[in-house]
Amino acid sequence: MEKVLTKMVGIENSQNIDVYLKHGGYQALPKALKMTPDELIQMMKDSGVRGRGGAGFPTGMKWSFLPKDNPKPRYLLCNADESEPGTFKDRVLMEDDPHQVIEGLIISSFAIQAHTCYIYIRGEYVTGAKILHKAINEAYEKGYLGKNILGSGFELDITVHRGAGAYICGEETGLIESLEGKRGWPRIKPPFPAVYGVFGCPTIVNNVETLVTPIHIINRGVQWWKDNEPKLYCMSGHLTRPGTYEAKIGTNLMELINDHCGGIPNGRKLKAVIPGGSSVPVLRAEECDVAMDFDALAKAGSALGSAGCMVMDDTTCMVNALWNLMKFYSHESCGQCTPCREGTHWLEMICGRIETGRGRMEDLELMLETANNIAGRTICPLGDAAAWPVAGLPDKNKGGDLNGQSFVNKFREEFEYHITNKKCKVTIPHEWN
Amino acid sequence: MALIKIDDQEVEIAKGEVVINAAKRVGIDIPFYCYHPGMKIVASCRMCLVDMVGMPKLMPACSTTVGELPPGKKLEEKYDAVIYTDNDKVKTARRAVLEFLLLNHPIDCPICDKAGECKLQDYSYEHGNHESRLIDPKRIPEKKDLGPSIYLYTSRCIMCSRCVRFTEEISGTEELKVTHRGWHAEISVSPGKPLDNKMMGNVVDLCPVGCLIDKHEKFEGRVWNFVQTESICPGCSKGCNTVLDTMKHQKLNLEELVDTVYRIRPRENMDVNQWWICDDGRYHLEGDKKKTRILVPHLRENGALTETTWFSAVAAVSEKIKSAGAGQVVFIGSPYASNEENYLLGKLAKGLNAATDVSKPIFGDTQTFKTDMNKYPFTIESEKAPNFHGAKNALGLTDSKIDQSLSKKVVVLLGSHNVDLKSKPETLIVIGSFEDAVTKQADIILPAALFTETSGTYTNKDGLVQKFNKAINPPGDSKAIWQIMINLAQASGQDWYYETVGDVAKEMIQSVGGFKSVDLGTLYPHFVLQDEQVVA
Ligand SMILES: Cc1cc2nc3c(=O)[nH]c(=O)nc-3n(C[C@H](O)[C@H](O)[C@H](O)COP(=O)(O)O)c2cc1C
Ligand code: SF4
Ligand code: SF4
Ligand code: SF4
Ligand code: FES
Repeated sequence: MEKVLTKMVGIENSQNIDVYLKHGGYQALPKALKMTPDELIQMMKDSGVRGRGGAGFPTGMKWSFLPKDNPKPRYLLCNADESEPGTFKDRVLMEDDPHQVIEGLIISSFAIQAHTCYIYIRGEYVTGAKILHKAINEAYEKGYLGKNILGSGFELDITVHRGAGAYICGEETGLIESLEGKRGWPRIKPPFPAVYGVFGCPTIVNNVETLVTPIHIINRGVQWWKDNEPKLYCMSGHLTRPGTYEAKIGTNLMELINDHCGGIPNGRKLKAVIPGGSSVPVLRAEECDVAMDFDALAKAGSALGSAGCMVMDDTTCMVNALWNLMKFYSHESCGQCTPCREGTHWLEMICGRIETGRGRMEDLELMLETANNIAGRTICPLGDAAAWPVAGLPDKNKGGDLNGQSFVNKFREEFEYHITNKKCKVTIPHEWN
Repeated sequence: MALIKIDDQEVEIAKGEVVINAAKRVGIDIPFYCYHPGMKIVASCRMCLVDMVGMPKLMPACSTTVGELPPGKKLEEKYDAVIYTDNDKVKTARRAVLEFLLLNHPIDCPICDKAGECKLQDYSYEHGNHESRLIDPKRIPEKKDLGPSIYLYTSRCIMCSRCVRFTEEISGTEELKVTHRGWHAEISVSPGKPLDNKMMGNVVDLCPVGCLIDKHEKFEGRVWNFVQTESICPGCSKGCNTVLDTMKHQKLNLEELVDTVYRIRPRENMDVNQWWICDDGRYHLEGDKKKTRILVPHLRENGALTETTWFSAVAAVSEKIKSAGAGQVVFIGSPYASNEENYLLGKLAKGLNAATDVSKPIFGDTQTFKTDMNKYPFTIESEKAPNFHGAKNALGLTDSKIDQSLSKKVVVLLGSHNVDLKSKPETLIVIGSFEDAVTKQADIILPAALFTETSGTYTNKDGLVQKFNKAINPPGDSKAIWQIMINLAQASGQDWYYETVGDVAKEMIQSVGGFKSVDLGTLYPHFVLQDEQVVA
């Protein structure tokens, strides 16, 4: 398949503006500037692009939520915090093809009529930040940024803002608070950022990958996009060739594992996959014959999330794996809401007890109950993100309670084995841990 | 206006009003920690979750508002929302929040000053799990010294952020911060910037648990031994509404019955002080502790002040007044005494054909606490007396001419700490509470009760007449000023008597123009004051 999003990857000096131009860069921009903002928003709606940051919210719809009659300036925030475990696709875009990101930001800013755009990049992406800085300067020199872009009268400034190492600052309102110089404590919604965002002004927050999509829709048309929608998948774990892969959205998970990533090494067997970043329910091996898109994964009881696909083979201890996840959420909870602050920590402790041979049978129910007591009861979705891997997605038929379909129940015999025998059912986990 | 059904009651809810408020109006108390009507809503504690029909998740009652639904879409054909505050789903959520809060809580209630008025205790009894499932080790961080008057018992914190929001939004001083993350999050101050401002005492009241503890009150008393009395702060002309917490019970290993005001807290009055008081008012009584209280009447004999009885002291006063002749006598009221007391002083003077005057208030610093987020800036007034306006009014004066008045032969002074005596009058009679430069020169001292020891009204800078109530008994032989006035009147042959201070107020309101608009019924609802002792 022709690479669209990752076309520049592997090309020498791909970060250089002249190289980008030589490969057809900045060709969508003049076309976009000749359209009206409303036409661009309609184009995003027609193409059906859904957010690549995790929640999968339709992008065109989000943009149309901006209030028409608010005289305050609008802002575009590019969410490059990329801290969801198992996710590393935005990094590829920013480090190997920064001008694609910048072109996407200019078009998107024009579409929502923002004159200031911030790239909130995670602090650890030092290389990415440097590359973006250089690329932004080149874009200013060539007149793609600044006043009167390409003679259109449109004006835009892009600023790179480096985070300080908190997962929660990737949540859109946590990001906004952090950008304002405050503690990254997510805000209660409503009001949504589109109405009351950064500095109290209408704001759109989108993921890096989301914001490059308009380039390709403009260049190739809505119909092409609908037929060929490209998506980046972050393949990690027990794979022969882990990495970021571009494939058509909806590619089968087994095809990604076997064909793209060369399968599972050392003759081991697939045990489980977390398909959408650490925040989504895990799939058993037999559930992995699934299309990697928003709807199919939702139907399979998981989610596409950030497309951070973590593959585990049969040497993986599922108790240890869950403990590892729980450590992460307990460490990253911002500490604002009671259920998340305390609940994530409790889950970590219970999980740790089981893993280290001090578990009790009733701890399994306690974990499920605790997950239920967090999910849906917090300010931001980090609480859900911690609960879902433990106890699955909310189930309408259970009054919104979690359906129980993730680590604890799907691998229950392993947890029970741990509790009864005070040791691991599988051989010692290897370097992945 | 939308109409909502909460449990089985109907209530109207205004645009922008939060559900927790509307519920309160019909007597449904939804438990809460982080919500405060005067500060930004963060909806983080999750204690107030309620079940709203049609919503997939439980909703925080402290941040949820209700808009009107179009006619065809109403729930049960008339409601804009139907809310349950006590069904199983809600109960489970509350139980879970409380269980979470106890996960890292030391449960040191037996040594916590908040015990008895702690919302973690109260809600745990009311809504919590009664069996503990917490077997994992707890994190118990050390106590911190936040500044001159407040400790942070870090481990007791429930992270409601009320204290932080107070210093950001109300005092504007921004000393308090949250540091660390997740279950390690703690309230902290920055190095070299302690919690130190004139409003800081409020964070102790705001803290729903025993995390913020006032050093003045630490280990001093148990809240279940307190009796509450509504009062008015005499600290400045603002007239903040307060509650006096009084200890009536015997202190452990003390013989005597303790009858002291243990602490002063704000009482909500949206027109005056909203929910706050300043620390001048809060620690008003601390200053008194350093002074020497006058407990018995004194009479100067052979050049020295000696203790005497009320009978002889009062007789001596009328003797001095009589011998000096009316034209040489002045009665000087006080901006620190109540309207009723000043009124009676004026009435007494009038009956004796003596002159009246009023002493001046002490002036000091003024400070305004103002931020963009607070609708009600809080100003500590520079006029450091509660009742200058009222005193003038009650005495029928327009201003103080005290410097001239002090030159009369016989001067009767109500209160002395604000009087600067350049030369001593021939006879100086002081009705006062503490020893000072003026009382040292007095010929007769009549020991007077403080504002905590009697009842009456003050008129604040805006002309608002507000009542304070007796909380404790006057110590020693000291008496309420209005009662001293009755004694003096009777000794000088005037025939008046009042059973209660309410009777004084009734007469004052009828006879003094400036009090015409005062509603006696609201100030003295029962007209007879409880606990007020009548002097024979
Ligand atoms: C705890 C948490 C962390 C998140 N981290 C990121 C992130 O690192 N990058 C990102 O793009 N979105 C992240 N999100 C999702 C954002 O809140 C937001 O939905 C997204 O940036 C919207 O962009 P999109 O519509 O393009 O997906 C996170 C969400 C949560 C709850
Ligand atoms: S859910 Fe967790 S991370 Fe999100 S606001 Fe609440 S405490 Fe913070
Ligand atoms: S110290 Fe008290 S008021 Fe402050 S956050 Fe903790 S519990 Fe809340
Ligand atoms: S502002 Fe004045 S009246 Fe209010 S508490 Fe302070 S001193 Fe007392
Ligand atoms: S009172 Fe509503 S969430 Fe705290």
